[in-house]
Amino acid sequence: MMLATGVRLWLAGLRGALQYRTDTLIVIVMALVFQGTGFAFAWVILTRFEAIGGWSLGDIAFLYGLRLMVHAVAGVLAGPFFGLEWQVRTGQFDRYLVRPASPLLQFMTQSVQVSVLGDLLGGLAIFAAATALTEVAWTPLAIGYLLLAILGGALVELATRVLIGALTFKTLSSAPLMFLSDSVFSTYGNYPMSIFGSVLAWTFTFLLPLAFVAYLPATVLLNRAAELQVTPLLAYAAPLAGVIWLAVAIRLFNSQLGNYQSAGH
Amino acid sequence: MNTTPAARAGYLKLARLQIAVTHTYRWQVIAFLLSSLLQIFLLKVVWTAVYDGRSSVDGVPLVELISFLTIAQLQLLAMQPMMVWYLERRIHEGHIGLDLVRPLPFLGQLLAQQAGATIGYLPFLLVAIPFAFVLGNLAPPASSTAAVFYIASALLGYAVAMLIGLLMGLVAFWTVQTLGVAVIYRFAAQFFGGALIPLFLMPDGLRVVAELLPFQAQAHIPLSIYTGRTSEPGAIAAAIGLQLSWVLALALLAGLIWRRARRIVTVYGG
Repeated sequence: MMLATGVRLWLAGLRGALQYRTDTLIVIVMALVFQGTGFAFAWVILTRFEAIGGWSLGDIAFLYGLRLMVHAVAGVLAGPFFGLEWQVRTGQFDRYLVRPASPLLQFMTQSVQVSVLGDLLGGLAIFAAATALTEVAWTPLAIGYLLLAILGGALVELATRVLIGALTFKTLSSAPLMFLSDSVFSTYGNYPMSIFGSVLAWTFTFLLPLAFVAYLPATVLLNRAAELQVTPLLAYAAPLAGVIWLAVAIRLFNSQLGNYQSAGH
Repeated sequence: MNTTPAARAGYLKLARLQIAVTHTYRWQVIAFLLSSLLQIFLLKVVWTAVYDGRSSVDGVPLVELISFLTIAQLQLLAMQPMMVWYLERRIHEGHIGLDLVRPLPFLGQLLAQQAGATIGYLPFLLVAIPFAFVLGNLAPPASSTAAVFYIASALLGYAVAMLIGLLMGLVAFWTVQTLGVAVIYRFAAQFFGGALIPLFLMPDGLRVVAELLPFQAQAHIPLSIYTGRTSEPGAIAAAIGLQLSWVLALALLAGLIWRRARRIVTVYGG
């Protein structure tokens, strides 16, 4: 019931976004340029040097493509969060509180960011090129793990937005922090965590769960789990992290809702 | 440009307003700054990883490279053209009509506001410098001559950045939307400007493209002078000459487009 409502609201949001055709096209190109620059950087470096932290061009492309597909899937629901502080400040958040569906669900499905289409295109293209450059045995098990990893990674990214968004009701500001965490995810997330040194690698695994988005699943699929400083078991179970993080984030969001003051009261 | 005392007072007021605007939205400025610092650190980590223990590759020492990229990133931060956003908003909301009837020439108003926005940014940049030193690396200029020519070259780089910003903003007279162009510019400036990979480390094909584009004038040319990579008097003269030609070409183009733009201006809701 809740799911059906969510899907219907989301489709309405997508229809709304696609009305602006030129905008749609521009946003898709923007997403491709934004994400493409990062890949072009790694690519150019790797035409001159053999590896980044032992990862070849194929390996890095695999990680990059996976991360970008995850980002696209997360964007299906994570798009509206940058506008949350504005809606809270102006009192527009009121409307989610007077309808029977969950406020968070209504908020996430209100509009759809068409940039996810650009991310998806870029992610698929880079990932397809990477599979040609690497030798991954695509058994049904590996494909199943890949799909779960994409979903799990997307939930980690979404959970991070929900967590930061939860702060908005008290502080009235969350976009700058979201912008920052987003830039860490879309840049640091494209490299093997080992190059950051053990302290940061640990931080990106347990404090800011960046490693779960693409790095840990990529080590499993590329048969590199042995190089991890954490137990490989954590890498195999990586898709679960998203579920846990999201559960925590939703709890926090709903408890913080009580701090919402609306505007002009 | 109009330079009567009254006009000067007007320009000063516009510039001061933009300084105030920058400080009002300081959290946004700080977020931008932090993301640049994060970028600087990532560049250091990635380049250190690909150097893989070697202290120098192709005659480029790692320490010099990191310093080059750190300053290039800070420099791009100081060279953000706010005119793009400003022009788009004014046109979108129809305020452009008001701007055009003010007693100051519109391009002059824009320049004054841009100067204010940049000055408003400087204190934040100053605070960021020690962090940039820790997260990246900062080396002093190669020599005192290098320092002098660097300042001249960086100012020309600033002029190029502002003219490109103005051109992108003027596009809004036709398209109303410029957000797409602005984002693409930001990444083109980083990538082709040499703030991620200096031109001397690019593969030949890519380097040729980067050398044909104006973006190298913003980061690569000034930094090459700063680090002493461009040190022959002839080479410095050629580099600064190239920047000057870009300034001239872009200024001519902007003037041409501006003359057409003011004739087709549409004021929404007016």
